[in-house]
Amino acid sequence: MMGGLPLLAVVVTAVVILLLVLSIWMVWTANRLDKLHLRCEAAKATLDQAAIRRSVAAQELSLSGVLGDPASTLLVGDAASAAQESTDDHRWLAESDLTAALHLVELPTNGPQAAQLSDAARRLTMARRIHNDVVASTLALRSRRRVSWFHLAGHAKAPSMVAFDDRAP
Amino acid sequence: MRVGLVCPYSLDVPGGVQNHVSDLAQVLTGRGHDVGVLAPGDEDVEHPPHVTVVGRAVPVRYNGSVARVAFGPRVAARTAKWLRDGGFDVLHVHEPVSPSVSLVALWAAEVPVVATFHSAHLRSRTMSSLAAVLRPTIEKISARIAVSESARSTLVEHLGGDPVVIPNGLFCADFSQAQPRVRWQQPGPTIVFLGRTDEPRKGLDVLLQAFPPILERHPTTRLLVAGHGEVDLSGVPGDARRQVEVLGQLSDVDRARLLSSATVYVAPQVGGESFGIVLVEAMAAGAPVAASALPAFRSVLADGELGVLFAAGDSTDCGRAVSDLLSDSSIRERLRHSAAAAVLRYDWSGVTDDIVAVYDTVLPAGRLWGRDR
Repeated sequence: MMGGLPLLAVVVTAVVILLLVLSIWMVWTANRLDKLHLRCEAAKATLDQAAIRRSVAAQELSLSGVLGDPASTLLVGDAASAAQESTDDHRWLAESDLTAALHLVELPTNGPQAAQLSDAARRLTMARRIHNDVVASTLALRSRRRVSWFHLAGHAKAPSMVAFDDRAP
Repeated sequence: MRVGLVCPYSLDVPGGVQNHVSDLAQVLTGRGHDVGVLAPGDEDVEHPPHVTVVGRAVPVRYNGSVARVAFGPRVAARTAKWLRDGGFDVLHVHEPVSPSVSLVALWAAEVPVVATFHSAHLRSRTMSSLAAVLRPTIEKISARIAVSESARSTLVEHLGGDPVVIPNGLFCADFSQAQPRVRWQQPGPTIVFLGRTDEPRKGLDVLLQAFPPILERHPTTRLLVAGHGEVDLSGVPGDARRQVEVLGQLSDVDRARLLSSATVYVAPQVGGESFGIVLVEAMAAGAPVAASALPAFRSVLADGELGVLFAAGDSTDCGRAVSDLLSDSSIRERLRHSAAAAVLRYDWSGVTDDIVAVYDTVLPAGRLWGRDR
């Protein structure tokens, strides 16, 4: 009779502490996830910008007339404008097509337009890697059981990897 | 006169533009003109003596499809040499607004240039953003030919001006004299489909869906499918599937024989057609035509006067149109009769007259004297 109360108190305290620890852990996870989602969005924005920069550089290169023959000019110019025009699902297909076009023509090795294009292409490759890297971390955390059980991701949409051919020209 | 023809696409792969250039070269040579053809292709394959291969073709995605073309500095150098050595009076380039040897030849040309536009599609964004670099080259064209009204309106929209319409040529006699094959005619009526079977815009799926309802009204009908590609019959119910015969890719002679055997030729294409030469082939072979109401097809069929039209992509309407045509032999006879007369304007004899008239128009006035026709 004497020991009943302290035992109950011990159990209650233990449960309270457990719940407290658990909820701190959950809040912490949700926070991590939130930061990852924000980084995904930022990486996606950087990737978008890098892609636009490359297509603009490709277009300027074709407009400058340094590609030699007009067929190469038309091919690169068309692929660049298609990349700028396309949205959503077709977006990265169009970027792959632009990469393929840049590989088919003989690009000048020097000159301001060529330097701008190779710089833009390098940054695009980098931006895609960085983006997919943070998407992978985010997806890994989202796949944990506690995240789905306690709905820690909230209404944030699952980010997705971006795949396209971004070999340097 | 000496005529240089430039074909943008590899001659080793069949296609509308390639056939047109080869046939035109043949007809012009037959009329005593001196013809040279420049095109990409495989150097190891044997080509006729008047053909100069400019380099191996690479597949390129342009204007919504994959084209096999050649370009680059080496191609440009060879093209310039071909132009110098050829000493042509007229250069006739095909599909000049494509990343191909046609554009390269136009760029390098120093003689009057005639250009034929085959496609009914140009991306406006490309045209506007590249106008500054392309315009000076395109301005070198002395006379522009569009193969159809739809190709013409695309041209006017993007480049302005007033191009001449001269349709693609056809050797009508090859079709009108083709012998039907009994096993493609019997038993019962036959519906014919011709075209790539794995390309959705050719519309085979529309026809396959329309086929069971057709069978309800005409149980002995067979559907003959010819063309390159796999055929997916999984959507067709078992009884109907037995009435479908897949023939694969046919030779030119067999194509003509198949069309002349058909009770009805169906063109269920859902879009992207600029001309519809296969409709003209069917008409020349004496096959009554049922076609989707695309602008190009409407114009070939004179708004339904020379063939039956149905709503593009609508298998119910397609089935109804084909069934009605199968039920009424007097309509089929009337269509056959009027089509046979109408296709003559696509025959190479008249088409060549028109093209030579364009050549004459662009020749400098001095050349008109003392040239041989």
